[in-house]
Amino acid sequence: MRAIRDLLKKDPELLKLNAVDADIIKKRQRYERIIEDNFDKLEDIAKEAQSLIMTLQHWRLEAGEKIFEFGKAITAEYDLNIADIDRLFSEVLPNYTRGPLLGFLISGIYHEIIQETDVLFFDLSKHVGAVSGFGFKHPRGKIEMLGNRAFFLGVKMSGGEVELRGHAGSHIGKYLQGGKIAIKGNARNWIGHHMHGGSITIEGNAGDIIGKSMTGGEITVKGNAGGWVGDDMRKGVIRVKGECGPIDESDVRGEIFRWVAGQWKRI
Amino acid sequence: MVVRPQVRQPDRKRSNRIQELFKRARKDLYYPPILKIELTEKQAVEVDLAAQKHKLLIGEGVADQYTEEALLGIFHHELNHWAKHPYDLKTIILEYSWLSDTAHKSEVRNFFDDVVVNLDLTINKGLEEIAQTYRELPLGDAADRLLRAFYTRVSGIDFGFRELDPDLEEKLSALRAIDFLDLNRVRIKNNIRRFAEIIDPLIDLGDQIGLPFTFFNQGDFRKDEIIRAMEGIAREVTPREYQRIAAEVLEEIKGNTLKLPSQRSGGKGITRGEEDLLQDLEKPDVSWYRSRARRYSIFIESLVRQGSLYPDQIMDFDLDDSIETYNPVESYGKVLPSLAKKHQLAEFERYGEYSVPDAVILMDSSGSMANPEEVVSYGVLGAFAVARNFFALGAQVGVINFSNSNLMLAPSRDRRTVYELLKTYQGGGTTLHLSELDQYMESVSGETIDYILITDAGIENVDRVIDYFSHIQGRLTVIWIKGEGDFDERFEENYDRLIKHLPTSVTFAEVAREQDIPRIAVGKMFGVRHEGN
Repeated sequence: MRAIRDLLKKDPELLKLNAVDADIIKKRQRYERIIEDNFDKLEDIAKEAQSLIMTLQHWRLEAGEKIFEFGKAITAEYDLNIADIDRLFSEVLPNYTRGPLLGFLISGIYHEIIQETDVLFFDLSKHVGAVSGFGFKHPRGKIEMLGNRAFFLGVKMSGGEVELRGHAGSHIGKYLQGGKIAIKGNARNWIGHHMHGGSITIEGNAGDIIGKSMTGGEITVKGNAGGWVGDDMRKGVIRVKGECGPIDESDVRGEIFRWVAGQWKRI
Repeated sequence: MVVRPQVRQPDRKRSNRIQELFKRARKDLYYPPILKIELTEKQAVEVDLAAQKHKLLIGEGVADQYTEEALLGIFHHELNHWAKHPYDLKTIILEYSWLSDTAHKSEVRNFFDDVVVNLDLTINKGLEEIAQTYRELPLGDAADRLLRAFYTRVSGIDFGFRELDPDLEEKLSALRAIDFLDLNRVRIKNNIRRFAEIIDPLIDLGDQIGLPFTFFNQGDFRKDEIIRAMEGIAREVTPREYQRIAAEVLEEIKGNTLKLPSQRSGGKGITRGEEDLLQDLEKPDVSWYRSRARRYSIFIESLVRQGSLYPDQIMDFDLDDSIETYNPVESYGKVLPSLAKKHQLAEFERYGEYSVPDAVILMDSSGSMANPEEVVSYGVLGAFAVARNFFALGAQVGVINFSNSNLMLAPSRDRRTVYELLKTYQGGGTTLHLSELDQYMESVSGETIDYILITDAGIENVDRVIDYFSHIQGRLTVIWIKGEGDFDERFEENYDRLIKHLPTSVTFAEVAREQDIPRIAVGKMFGVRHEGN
């Protein structure tokens, strides 16, 4: 307070409203007229993300983790909101990248700001390539996707919902801890690998290796499944409504159900 | 640029004139934190960054060569660097780091800061004297011509050059797309990079910079100021980015006068501050965690309970009792058996002088824990926070870093060694080698020790560990690092076993994210399981 008092004593004009010179206002107006600022923070993010993605091996989960962390960091740095995320994914990123690791990036960006009641929608067809990592460590709220080229979906997810309207690639719900994953189409291999909780529902067919090493949670395949269903499974539930490869009934440690004569029958 | 004095003024008169102008400049900028100005032999204007309090130095020749208006412009310019932009060393270091692909980083950064300062003076503050300074200066290289034309175009004030050839005109249009006066951190990062693309190709180091202002870099600052700036940066960037920035700063300051000490205890001719700085920069992975851990205070329950006595209740007075405890009011003034009363004294419930024992941190650095060099490890961060708080309370800290082998350090006050060992990542299996631990314990026996076990509970010999810790002397705090690596339900089972089988005096804390670290308490919640989110 004493410092402020001294300052005001030295310069009593400091707090007067008319202290702002009209000339300064004019100069500021001139500056704003001449400067044609074309900064777009989303373009900036897209450039940075792409330069990072280019340095990583896209198929490795560790790469996804790095991009996810990058996404988390830029949300705070650039003060992003849900509307920014939508424009970034649909309009800006397609100009910079074909799609790899983008799901990890977007998951990192919304991770801290998504709320329980939020629903985020992503049209995957905006990107020409496959998009990996949507729903990575998803904590709450719901994300809906439309498209056929999503893989590494809902990896390490802990809550909320992830829904894909289309066919999914491999590695869905890997290390899943909680929440719901719904695939309104077919899925390929490695579904629910190491999952511990939550649920995965495949409306169509699934490929090979379903619930390998799972220790909890539930996987439901409403169509057919391939081989290695429940391989090295320890706990949890797998339900296959259609056909599936042979299951070694003497070595089933979790609960595996088949649809027989109009009802679920445990193997 | 060396400016030859044209007219020599009497010293006192010159000095008074300079002091008056400097006073006026400070007032115009609302008294920025550069309090002094000094005349020097050096023919330039610069801020003495190595002084405890920054001061402005002006060459005698410069003072004589320029008109009062131009000198005032120079002072405005220099002072505004510390009133507006870059304002502090942290910004300077960050700006430098954002220019990673630029050939003339230092020059570009200095030019950029000058543009911001000059525009702020003329546009935001209405202080036009800086234009007079430029008008009195000889015209410099292409970059100088471009920037003068840009200032003139934007402010409407003559900066001594207007007409540009078509090439530079194109660059001026590119400059007009940058809002230099938006000093949001994200904008500075973007602006300086775009500015570098325009200006960098124009910089010709063969040409003298056409201003009496000197360019400076990180190495010109005091070492403690660099340490403080780096600490601030550590709180804002990832460990990997911090390492890159630290390497750049190290390169810059090594170019100055510093040499790395050959021994930890300080080499010849190197001050403590320089040694600290160099070792911080040499080990940025450790200094990042140490700076980050400064955010967190950890509660450590004091072991000492002492205090004075106070009257607790009224009881019958016996003849053996001290007369000082006699209560004349309740005794109706009589000292008679069964009538006389006394104050029963009790110890006051308060903590005396704060005292904590030494600590031994048992740090799990197995492969299931996060690698602190790859991602932010909350285990390591928590360990640093715990160690820092013990150090702050005068205690010593020992470390047992366990994975494939036990790496052990006896309780010590050598913070650097403790931190380095806490951050060491073995990345192997998780076995606490109890025979080695036993030897270690014997070496510290007789001392009161706080044991802090930091683990994800993926311990292979968990039953033996439970058995071992059930019988140790001293307090045990278990900090469970939850879900840092790949989740394994056996870890949770192990943790539940620790809670179930260890004595109720053990404190448990769960850390799943950085926000849980301040909730760690050592020796606080006996038998209570503290759940993180």
